[in-house]
Parts: sequence; C-alpha cells; structure tokens
Amino acid sequence: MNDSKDRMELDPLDPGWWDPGFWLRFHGRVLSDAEAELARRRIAPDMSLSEVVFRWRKPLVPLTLLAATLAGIFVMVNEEPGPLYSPVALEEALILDVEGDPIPTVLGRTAELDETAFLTSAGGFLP
Amino acid sequence: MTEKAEARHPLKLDERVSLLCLILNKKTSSRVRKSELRERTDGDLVRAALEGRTQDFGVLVTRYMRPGYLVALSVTGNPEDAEDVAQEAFLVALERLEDCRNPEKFGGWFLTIVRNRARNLLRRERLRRGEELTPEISPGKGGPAEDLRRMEIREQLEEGLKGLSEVRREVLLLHDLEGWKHREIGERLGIPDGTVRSHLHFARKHLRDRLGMFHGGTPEGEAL
Repeated sequence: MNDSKDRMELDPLDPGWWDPGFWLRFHGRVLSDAEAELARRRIAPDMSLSEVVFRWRKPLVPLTLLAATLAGIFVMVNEEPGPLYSPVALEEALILDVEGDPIPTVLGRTAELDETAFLTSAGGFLP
Repeated sequence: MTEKAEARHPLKLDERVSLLCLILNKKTSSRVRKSELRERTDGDLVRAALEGRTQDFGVLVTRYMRPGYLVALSVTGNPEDAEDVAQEAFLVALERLEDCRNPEKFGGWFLTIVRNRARNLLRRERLRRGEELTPEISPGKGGPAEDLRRMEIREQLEEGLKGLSEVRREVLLLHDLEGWKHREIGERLGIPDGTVRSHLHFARKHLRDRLGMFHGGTPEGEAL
C-alpha cells in the first residue's frame, strides 16, 4: 500500500485553509494566555523562602484578621450558658452522695472509742 | 510592526515570520528555520518551558497546535469546539508540565490531554462561546460560487468523518492532513504501526465511499 499516493485531500478541514491568519492568531492567543504561568515559572525557582513569605504577606495579613474575626463571632454565637457543674473541694467531693457517716467522721470517733466500737460503727463486725 | 502588535504577541518579529512561514508554506524559504525548529527535541523544549521560557514553549505550541486541533476535531466533530479544546489543552499542559514524566514523549501526553478534554466537552454537551477565533473565510479566487463549493466539500468531509471511529478519524487526519508518518502516529497515539496502517486504510475507504455517494457516483468512486 502506497500511503503517499493514496493521500486524501482533506485541506478543507484545516481552518488555515480558509483563513491564512488563523494559526498565527491561534498561536498568539495560546502564548498570551500562557504568559502568566510562564512568568510564574520564571520567578518560582529563584525565590527564597523569605521572598515567598514576603510575597504572601500582603494578602495573608487581612485574611488572617478576617479569619480571626469570623472565628470570634462564631464562638460568641455558639457560646453555651455555662458549665452544669460547680467546683467542689476534694474533701467535699469525697462525701458527696455517700450514705451513712463519712469516713473522716468515723475516723474521728476512733480516737475516742475502742476497736470494737469502731468496727461496729463501720458495719463490719457483729459481736 | 507596532508596539501594540508586539505586546499582543510575545514572540519577536523574526520568530513570528519564521512561524508564519512554517505554518503557511511548508516548501519554501522556511526550510532552514523549520530544520532549526525540528532539531530541538520535545524533551529540550519541555525542560525549557518548565523554566518559563516563552520562546521554547512557543515552539511546542507551533509543533502541536495542528495535531491538537485535529485530535479534538476527531472527537468533537465540531471546528469551533476543537479550537477551544486545543487552546485550553495547551494551558492545562503547561500548568501540569511536571506531570509529563517523559518529556521526550510530550506529544503523546499532550494529545491525551486534548482527547480527554474533548470527551469531557462532549459529555457535558456544553458549547462555549469565547472570543471569536473561528476562521474568517477569505473570498476565493473563484468568487461566491467557488466559496460555496468549498463549503460543501468541507461539510461533506465532516459528515463522512462522522461515520468513522474516533481513532480512525485521528489516524486519517494526522496522516493525510498533518503529514505524520505511521511511526509518529503510533508513538503518539500508543498503538502499533500495523494498526495505524489498518486504521488508515479503512478510514480512507470509508470516506471515499461516503464522498462517492455525495457526488452521486458509485460507492467506490474517487471523490476527491
């Protein structure tokens, strides 16, 4: 098969056949649109970390302020009425909801009573 | 060349002239320039484009704008959509240039981007109307009658292509319109040379049959 000889005449499908300036304009458009990305690539490898930070400084400061303001508003709007518990001392916490005499009281009595009386009062000894 | 025009086109005057020669006149004085352009591999150009060199990226655009358009046309079947897709694909390719793992195979990678974007466009059935770049049909030497005849030929070709599979349309256009060899097409479309030949053979046969029908001849008639 001789492909060159059999080549079909498809030129009408080429926009450049109809409009000789088409491809030049197309090329110009692509390069024009690509210029920003090309410029970024030209700059990017030469930039140090401090330069990158410096470049971000201007947009970053107002953005940070805005974010902080929004966060503050959010916290204020969603603020709960307060904790459901109140602070208690450790000693108080030990006797809270405990039936019978609290241990410190029992211990306080032992100084005056003998061992039998202490165990009886604690409920652990039946004579 | 005015400053305004220079600003519109980032290439220098002599580069633009060589580009214009390359595009418009494949057989004349542009041979030297053309060979200069051809000497640089895709890999060289991609590496330069990665560093933001406009001129080198411009050579890549020159090299692949027509193939990109033809692949997009193969998928969409619509010249305006093909133009949009090809143009956008260059920008996408530039933005993702780091993803091109083998810069020497930029062509195949780029045409894949074109194909995917064209398919997405079809899927969404979205017609974008951007700044007009559509061909302004220049008056032919033969006057309005000749223009009408040319328009009819284009419509018949477009209609005939619709009956082909996507890959056969691509092979046919890249070979017979862009002038790529079987090996080049095979490399860039990722198919064996023999398959390219087969697709080309059947695509031509189908199109000739279709065009023969348009012209009222026998199905095997040589319409063009």
